Amino acid sequence: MSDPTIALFDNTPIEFDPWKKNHVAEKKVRRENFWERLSDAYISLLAAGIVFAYTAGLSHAFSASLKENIGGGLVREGFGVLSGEAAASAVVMVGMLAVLSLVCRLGPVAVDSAQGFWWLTLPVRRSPFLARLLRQRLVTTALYGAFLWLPIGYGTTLGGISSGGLVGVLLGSASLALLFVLISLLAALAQTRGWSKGFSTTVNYAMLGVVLAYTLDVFLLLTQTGTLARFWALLPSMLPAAAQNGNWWIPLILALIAVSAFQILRNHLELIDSKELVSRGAASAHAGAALALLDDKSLATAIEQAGTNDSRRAQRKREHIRKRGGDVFSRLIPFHWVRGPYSALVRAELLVLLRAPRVWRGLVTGFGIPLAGVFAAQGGHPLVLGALIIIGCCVAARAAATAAAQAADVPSVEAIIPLGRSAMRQVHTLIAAALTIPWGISLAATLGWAVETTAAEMPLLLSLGALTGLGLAAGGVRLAYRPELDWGSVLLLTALGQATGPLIQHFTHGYDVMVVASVALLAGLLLNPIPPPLVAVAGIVAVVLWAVSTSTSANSKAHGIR
Amino acid sequence: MDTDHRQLLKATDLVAGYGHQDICGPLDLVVEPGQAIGIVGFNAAGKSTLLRTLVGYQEPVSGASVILGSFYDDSSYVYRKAVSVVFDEDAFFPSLSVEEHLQLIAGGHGVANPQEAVEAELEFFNLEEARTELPQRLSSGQRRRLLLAAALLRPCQLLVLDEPEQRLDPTMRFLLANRLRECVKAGVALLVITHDPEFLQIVADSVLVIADGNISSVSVTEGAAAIANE
Repeated sequence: MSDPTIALFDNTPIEFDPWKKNHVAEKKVRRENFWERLSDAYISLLAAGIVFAYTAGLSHAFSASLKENIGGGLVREGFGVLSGEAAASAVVMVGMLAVLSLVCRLGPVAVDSAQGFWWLTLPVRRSPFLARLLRQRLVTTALYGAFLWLPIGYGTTLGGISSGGLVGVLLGSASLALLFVLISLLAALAQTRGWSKGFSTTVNYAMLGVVLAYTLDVFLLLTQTGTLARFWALLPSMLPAAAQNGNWWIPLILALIAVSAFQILRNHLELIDSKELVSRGAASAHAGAALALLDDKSLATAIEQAGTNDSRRAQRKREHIRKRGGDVFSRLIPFHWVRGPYSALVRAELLVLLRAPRVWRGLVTGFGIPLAGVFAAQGGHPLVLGALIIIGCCVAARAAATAAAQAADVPSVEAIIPLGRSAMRQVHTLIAAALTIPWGISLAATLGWAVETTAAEMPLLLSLGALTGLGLAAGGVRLAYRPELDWGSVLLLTALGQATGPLIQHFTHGYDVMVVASVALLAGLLLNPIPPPLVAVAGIVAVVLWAVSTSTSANSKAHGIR
Repeated sequence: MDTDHRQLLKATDLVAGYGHQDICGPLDLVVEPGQAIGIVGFNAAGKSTLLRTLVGYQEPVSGASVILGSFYDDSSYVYRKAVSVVFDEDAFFPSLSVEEHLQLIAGGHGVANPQEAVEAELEFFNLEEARTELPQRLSSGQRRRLLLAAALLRPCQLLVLDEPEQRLDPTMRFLLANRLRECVKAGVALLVITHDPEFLQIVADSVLVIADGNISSVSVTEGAAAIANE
């Protein structure tokens, strides 16, 4: 030890910049030269350009179709009460709050495990290197915001909802990028004050508030007692659209606010606790690794688990459950009911479903998405409603198959139950169907009422809703058991070069069944009158989907422990 | 708040655990400069939990632990200067060599003649040949030695080590034990968890034994016997 007799109570920092020290050392071992980095940037830009071109093409086709069929809405007269601007403002606001919630969970000020171990223990000022880390994240967040607006801005311009041309789209893009930066700075401010956990909860309530405001506005408009149009116009989510319409000063003011906020905040970064920095860094690393491996299941888990299990309330709850020997659900479905492997599995699945709030959140959100669309001006358009129903169905199916997804993640737990893999999946699908069938019937009933399905046809539509629910359960379980991505064969060699078929096949595994299952309900809503043989066809399709999803032959490699 | 500068660490009725679940305690303890305390017990007895709670890394179930006259305050430069900690987990910068990791610590703690101090640690921990290696090329034992070198390179008042002898060969264990003894003689206080009775006998002045959630203070000989009975 070089000098154990340091002065006690000397609360002054050592003048040393660990970032600079690391940067110099890292530069020496960095293998990439300037040209390689330039090449990487070129490839990234090219990839972004291709994605943009595809998105723009789809937006163009979508908006052109909308323009041609304006007025041909599905929903009954007087239902599409909410203006497109108000609906867009609500959707963008919910999206922005979701970004804020995500940023709160993953940082924005965070350190990786090495930085936590080597830097945070140094008696140096942390603000300089934390400010650099924050700046890096702000740039990334801004890029996400900017790219996100491009297809929205382009689509709204084509659809005639917005004006401004290319410059307008770029102004809108800059505004959303800067709003994302301000959102991140807000989350960073919460970190400096030690409010992260409470702040994240507040953001979730704010999201709920927007949904409630949407519902209230629909109610006011339907009963012709008022409107919340002014409220939607005042939300910050309207700023990118306003900037796109030629208000160039909006991004300018946002930039000024962002720069000033960053300058004020950087001096307060010292206040962030090490545990907070390290735990957010661990969550970011988990999410980053999942993203790098293109593992969306793991990414969802990383985001959901970030900073959720460390609260004292959660600890107290766990301790309370431990002392009582189980929670209310385990007493509701007591163990003595178990008579064999099937009932053991069913009990375990039911307990997972009852204990996971995300199941109920997912089912409600999946129900709300098409329902919210019904009440917006263009939400009743067959294309828009169709897209919203498919999205809602996918969200609900994923939620209903939560237990199957948890089981698939830990194959060794399934291995201890003496049931075949196929039987196991049949049980998983059955449990998921117990949720999705009533869900599908309820959605069919609600949408049937909205599109004026006659009383005579309603039983047919409800049957289609039930069959859609059955197919969705199968799709959810298929997604849960999606085999690991085989990185050795993500690209297919064809005569025309490399194709990404296997990669696309991997990512659509499960969703393919969900989309096919949704067609039954969509057809029931679109066809007038509903042909009775459609129910029989939908029934056959549902049985096929069930068989495809519970078949274990194709996935035996991935989950082949038995 | 206690402001007796002789007391580097003072624990009062400290119960370590998670949430409201007690793991071990209660413990009343005062650690003064030049004092070396060993902590022993079976696996999962709560040794690391107790150590983490003592240095403020984990909140106690009840009671309190005060370091240098104040509760754990991560923003305090005094705390970061005075307390050097090596727990079981490790993390390294993938692009920094062994020597550069040590230079980072020497620079960050304002060590006088930093390169000289780094050379001395590289020599002591037999890392000279690995000085330019990146962490991913180091063996498990070398990584452990690098962490210990970093902990001993910097000045400190309280040294906290969780099973430092793990992954070290017998010669290095012996050298480390004597080195820690020298530090204690020089005035550093030491809190160390160990499963090695010989290591304990060289290093410690007194021992805390954790068994069935109870913590008792015993002599070094009794502590070594407790390890032998594990």
